Amino acid sequence: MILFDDVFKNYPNGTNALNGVSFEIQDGEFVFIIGPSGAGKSTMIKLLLREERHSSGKIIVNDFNLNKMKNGKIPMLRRSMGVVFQDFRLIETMTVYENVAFAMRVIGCSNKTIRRRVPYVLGIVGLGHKSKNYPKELSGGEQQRVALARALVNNPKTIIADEPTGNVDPALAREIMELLIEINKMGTTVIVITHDQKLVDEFNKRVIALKGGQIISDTTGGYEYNERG
Amino acid sequence: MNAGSFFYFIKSSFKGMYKNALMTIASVFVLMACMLIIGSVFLASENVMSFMDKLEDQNEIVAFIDDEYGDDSLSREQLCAKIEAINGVSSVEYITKEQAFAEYRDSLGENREYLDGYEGEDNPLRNELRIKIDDITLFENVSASVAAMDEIANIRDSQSIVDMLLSVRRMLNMLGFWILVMLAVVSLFIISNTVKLAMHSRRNEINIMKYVGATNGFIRFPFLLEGIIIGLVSTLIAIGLQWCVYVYALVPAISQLSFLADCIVPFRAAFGSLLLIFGVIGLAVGIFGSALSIRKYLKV
Repeated sequence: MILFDDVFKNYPNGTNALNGVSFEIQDGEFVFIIGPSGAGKSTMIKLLLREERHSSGKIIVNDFNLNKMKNGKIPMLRRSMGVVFQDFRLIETMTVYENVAFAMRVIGCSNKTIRRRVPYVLGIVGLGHKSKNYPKELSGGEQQRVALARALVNNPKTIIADEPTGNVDPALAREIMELLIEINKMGTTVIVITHDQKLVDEFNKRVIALKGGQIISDTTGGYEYNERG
Repeated sequence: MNAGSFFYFIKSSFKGMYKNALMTIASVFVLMACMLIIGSVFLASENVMSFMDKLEDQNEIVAFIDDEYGDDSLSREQLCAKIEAINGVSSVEYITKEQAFAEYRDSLGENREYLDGYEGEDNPLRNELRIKIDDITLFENVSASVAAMDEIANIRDSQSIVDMLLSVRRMLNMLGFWILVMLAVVSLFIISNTVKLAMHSRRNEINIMKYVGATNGFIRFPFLLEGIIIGLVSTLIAIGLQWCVYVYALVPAISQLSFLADCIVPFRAAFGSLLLIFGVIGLAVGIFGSALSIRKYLKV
């Protein structure tokens, strides 16, 4: 479960990125967070991952109360989430297999577990046959799927996808969204952050719309925000 | 730590060093030079110590007893006991003026007849005490305490040589200390930069590691290991080079001073201490050098 209760985030330069944001996402939900640039989407991800601390309010992420959590617990918090970035953030010198295995290696998984789990997850994202390829040899969509496999491999409670379709064409974007929906059906909470209205329209899911650091709407399906504000 | 993580750490460290081979080699060279200089100062100091030990063995104060003082065996024993109680004295030998006269005459060899006529009542020498010192640093104290005694007329010692050696040793220790401090700072800087470069070239990896929940300890370890490996490799090369420098340069140089020639410390006697000094410098500089540069990249 993810809870934001009256959360404010003010930066020292005077920017108020979030102004009293409140919402609750139950386990197993699929949620779009949508809004124009500067709406506070990126700040929200930073707060979820504890990259930044909120100024006031209450945040609970997968049983971690971020108001009371000590810095030493940050790795545990992050292990409960898988993050997919718009720019994929794959390691160019590692193969597809190694990129995914790397995420398991760094949390101390044994070789045996890695050998069993990585091919399974690559199978889910449809890249079992490309495990020996390097990122440069893959298309944008395939690279995004490797990033998704890496986010999935540690079996997180929540997947956060930041503009997952930003760097791929519409056909591949739809493919990735369908993959995320499949992952959600397996019980993983999925949060997709996007400014792509068309993408949101295609799927009848819960949409939290942000503007100027505030929630302006929280509905299921059919929300339309005005990009020009 | 499981086997997979262990091999990952080793592989990461070597990968880091290979990627920045030039800086890694520079670090090893600087650290090695630092160790060689410290090692040479240490060996020189050891040799001075060895010479001082030799001097300590031979070293004695000769105290001449006032003629007024009784010459019976009780008085002798009391006087010897009084001097033996002084801190730093290892033994006291009572030499009668007759013994001293005989020794002196023997030492003259063929010219012994010069002393004819000075035997018995006419013996101009005094009864004396030969006092051995077991700690050369206490030489001055012992000498002053003995000279101040009423029973002693005057003393003869080699204070000036002792003073000179003590000041050489103090100077070497001081020199060694400041060289150590200076070179340790330079080595720290170089290693810290090497590790910084390694971290910079892998900042993307570190960033991903943070996002997937790697602990700071896990991220830090390969870089610390890199510093440790640089430290250990430097130690091993430095100890080999130190042997060459000592055997082929320092020993021949010291041997030029004839009075030092028979108390040169063999390399194997100093090997253990050198290995310890080099190992400690290597590890400390390696670990602190790495630790200095890691913090910046962990703030994600």
